[in-house]
Amino acid sequence: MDDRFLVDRVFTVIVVVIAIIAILPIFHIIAYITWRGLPIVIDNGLSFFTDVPAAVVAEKPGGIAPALAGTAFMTITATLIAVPLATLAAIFSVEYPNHVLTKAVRVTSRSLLEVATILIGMLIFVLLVLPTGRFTALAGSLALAIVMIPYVYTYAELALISVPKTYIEAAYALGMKRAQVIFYVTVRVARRGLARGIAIAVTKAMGETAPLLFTAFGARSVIFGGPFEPADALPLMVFQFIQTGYDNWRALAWGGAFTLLVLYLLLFIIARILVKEVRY
Amino acid sequence: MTPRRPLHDIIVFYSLALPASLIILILLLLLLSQLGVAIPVLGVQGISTYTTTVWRPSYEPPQQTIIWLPMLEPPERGAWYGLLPAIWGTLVSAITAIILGLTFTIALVVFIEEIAPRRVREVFSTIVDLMAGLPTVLYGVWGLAFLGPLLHRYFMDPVHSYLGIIPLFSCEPLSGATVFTAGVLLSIMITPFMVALVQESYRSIPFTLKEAAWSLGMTRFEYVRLNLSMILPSIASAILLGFGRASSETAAVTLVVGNAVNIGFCIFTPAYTISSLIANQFTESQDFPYMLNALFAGGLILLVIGLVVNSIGIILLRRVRF
Amino acid sequence: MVSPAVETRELRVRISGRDILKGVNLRVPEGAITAIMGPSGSGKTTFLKVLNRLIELIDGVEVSGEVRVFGSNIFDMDVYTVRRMFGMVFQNPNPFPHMSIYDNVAIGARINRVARSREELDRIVRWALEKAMLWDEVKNRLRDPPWRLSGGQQQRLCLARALAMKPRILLLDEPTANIDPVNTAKLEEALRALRRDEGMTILLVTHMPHQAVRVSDYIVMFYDGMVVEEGPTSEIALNPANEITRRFLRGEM
Repeated sequence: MDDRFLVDRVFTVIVVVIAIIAILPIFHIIAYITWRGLPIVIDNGLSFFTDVPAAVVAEKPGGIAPALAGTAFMTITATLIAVPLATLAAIFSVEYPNHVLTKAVRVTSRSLLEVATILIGMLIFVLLVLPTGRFTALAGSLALAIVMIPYVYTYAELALISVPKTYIEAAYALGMKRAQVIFYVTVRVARRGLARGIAIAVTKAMGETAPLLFTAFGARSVIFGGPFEPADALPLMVFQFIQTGYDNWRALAWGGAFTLLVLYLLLFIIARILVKEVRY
Repeated sequence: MTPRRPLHDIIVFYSLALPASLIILILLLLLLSQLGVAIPVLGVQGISTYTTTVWRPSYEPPQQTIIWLPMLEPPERGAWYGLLPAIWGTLVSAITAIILGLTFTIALVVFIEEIAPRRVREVFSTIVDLMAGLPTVLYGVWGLAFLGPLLHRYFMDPVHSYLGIIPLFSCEPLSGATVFTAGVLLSIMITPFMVALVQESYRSIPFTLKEAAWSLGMTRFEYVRLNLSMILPSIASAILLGFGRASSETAAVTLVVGNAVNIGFCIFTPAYTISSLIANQFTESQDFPYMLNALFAGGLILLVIGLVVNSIGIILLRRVRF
Repeated sequence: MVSPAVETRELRVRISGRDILKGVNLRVPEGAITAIMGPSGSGKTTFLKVLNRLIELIDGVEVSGEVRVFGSNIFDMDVYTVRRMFGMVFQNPNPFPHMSIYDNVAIGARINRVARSREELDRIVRWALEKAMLWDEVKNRLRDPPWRLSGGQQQRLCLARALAMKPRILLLDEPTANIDPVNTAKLEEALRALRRDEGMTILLVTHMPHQAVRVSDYIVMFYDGMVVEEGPTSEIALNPANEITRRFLRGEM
């Protein structure tokens, strides 16, 4: 047999083996976190989601209610800030594709997408936490909003740009004004693509730890103190508690990690469903 | 003849331009905030902030040095905040991640595009997407509880025993939390991101070129090698953008990197990266003069590295055209 | 010729440096069907889109000359007012995919505030669908999405959408180019009825000589951005003066 074909065989085998090794970790991560976290959730039942963390000396771990409440509050408010802002900016890029501002926003968005998210936390720390002298849920929301903006923008621009031009022409031919064309036609036709971008951005925001370290900071004693008090978040709680030496807090971290995993998988599936081809 | 623009259009223009400008403002503020808070420490420690290896928090402020003269040793007395170990740790972990991640990436792209049957291909693509979005803290806890100990016991210890003579492996791994573990974990995290980049250009190779390659009687290996050589700029781009991702990751790295001020050629040692240094030291940094500023000086270099690397990466990506 | 609905003088259009229309002087009579013929690339579509100023959606367009619609210069008017005088049907059916059949028709009336009440809107939608000869086919499925209809039905839906805005002039850009013969016949029948019953002014761009002859009262022949011949259909169809028109009618282009 020719050497070339032997090389080819070996090459194929190596590629297959490495490819499988590359995707093995995700299965192990899901299994491992479930193995460590699920028993804790089951053992504590509903109180795991409704209680605040117990004292470190306590036998029971308590619950992750502050983290859930904080994540819910900050993710929702961040979405309310980021989605309109980024979508309007994306509409600008599509409506005025040759404007210098469009080019600038595209470059900026690409940069923001890759910026270390801890830097965003530091920005909000300087802008909001230092002047007011306190960590707040709202500061966390703002940081998460900045994390979300480039994702929403990128997917929105993609969705809006792929709206067939013929619909836009038809809308203008009906005498629609620009704002009417945008909101009655362009945005509506692109709605699935927009929703998908939002789903991806929400997933991102929900899983972020670094931007919350110096903004929302974390909270343990109350479930939710309001927008102007420090707040906890699921990833933040996991990050902080897993590093502690207390067994019951590490148990909370594992249960929280499992909860976060389940939430992520749910959102992932929702985003998948939205991907299904849009019918025009 | 330019027809008059109706008032309506002008209003629409400005109400869309405002949010667009706001996004640009965010990036500017990001740069300004890092620079603004970093300046005081740069005014005292100067360039040496980035060239010294000593991290010595103290209530006594750092001694003034010549700001444009890079020193290797800081003044004897007072606080000192040298960022070189964190920069080094960032580089070492990111480069480790790139070497492993690129191997994974090439294998996955070739497997998905050329070897796997249709069904398997779709499953793999979904898994890669799943990996891409997983909250990084989950990678972190897994790395801390499982990957670190695993690498310690079955990789770092044996390698150190048998190949300890090589500087890279010369230090004895004391636990699983090392810069090497961080690199391995990061490689898993950046692989899906790099796959997306390389896969896109691989798919953009025109079918006629692929046909031509097959018609020359190439084996699969030769064929793939040819295809990859056609998209070299995008592979280079994936390396750069992957490096950007790896160097900016915080939560997962902080959990596995060991968080110690160390610098050297051995990769089995606990270390800091810039982002893990910031995450770890931020809270207490407000108690010491210039320490917070020093962390922002670290953030500044992280931001600049990120922007430069990403810009080059994106320019490279555009060079793949058929 | 009766008083013109549309009149152009020395109308020139350049798109990114290329001359598309090279000085068009034309009078389009009111209440008649005027067919604009010509090979592809002769500027027919551009001419239509200048009239309702849809051309301005394209970047790098320069328009010069004069266009008067019912006596007023369209470039002195608000662009949206201009567009509301015209209804337009495009080459490919493009009903809005996110709206029901009913809403697709109603949107034209809503935007232009033609209807004052729900009942009136219902009446206009029905009237428009009847005029487009589509009512019988969709009256029981008005809430369906438009993409359940066949291509030919979709095109008539687009005609109904344009009619619902009560335009004074109807523009059609090769509306049957991608439609089967049965649907083509229905659409042509609808156009003839509109002219007969409503006195609608219709401008029909077509690259099919037979269609022009079948439907129109007047024919305008475009070639290379200019009008090479115009006149009543009966004359031109029987005895074209211009060599280009003759060849076009014989199907040699």
